[in-house]
Amino acid sequence: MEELRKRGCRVAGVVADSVAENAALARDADLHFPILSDPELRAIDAYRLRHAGGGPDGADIAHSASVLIDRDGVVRWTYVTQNFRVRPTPDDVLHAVDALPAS
Amino acid sequence: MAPSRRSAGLALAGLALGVAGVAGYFVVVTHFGAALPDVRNRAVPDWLAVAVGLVCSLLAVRRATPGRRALAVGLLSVNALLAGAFAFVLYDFSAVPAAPGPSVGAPAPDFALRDETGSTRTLADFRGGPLLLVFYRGHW
Repeated sequence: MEELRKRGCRVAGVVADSVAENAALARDADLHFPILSDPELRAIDAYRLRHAGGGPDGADIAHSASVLIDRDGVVRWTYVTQNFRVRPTPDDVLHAVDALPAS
Repeated sequence: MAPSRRSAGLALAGLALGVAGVAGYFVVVTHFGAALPDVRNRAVPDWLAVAVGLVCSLLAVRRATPGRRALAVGLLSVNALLAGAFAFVLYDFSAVPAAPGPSVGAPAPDFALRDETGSTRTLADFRGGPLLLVFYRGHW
């Protein structure tokens, strides 16, 4: 996180859970970035990351994924996992941020 | 050492290695996941432990005297089942169907979503610098 901040990169989470659930998480996990609630999966669909039936009761949720957007609002790098055990390493993310063209 | 004792030692070592490999993986994932992302993703040291464990179990069966063979085979089976379950959890259970995700090079879709304080945030709020948008499965 520190490394991202040094590069001026902001972070935001998106999840299909409610604002209340996210508030509880933000409190408990002491996160330093906003968690956005998308219960109707509007943004999740816009980013084509819906996992139909992936939730505990067969609810639709988001895939675990990271999307890097440059300062002009263009998608530059994505990591969509095919296995929810696997996540991008911090190095993967930092390399992607460093590869962004400076405007 | 008498052959039967060597075989018993090997069988137990084999099973111990298998258990250590599998248990070690989950310990890493729950407590050190962030510090050891490569182990979390590929589990190489854990698979090595499981593989060496299975070899030990197999050797134990080979070396067991007739009276001990059943026990050695039993331990080998437990070890093999454990390895199978590990593989299932790692590769099948946590696999998800492919998702297209957003197109790289295209403008990022806008959104208007409420953050944990209730305020609405849009993509424009993050203009002027790179933004890492992390999508979570949720249901923490």
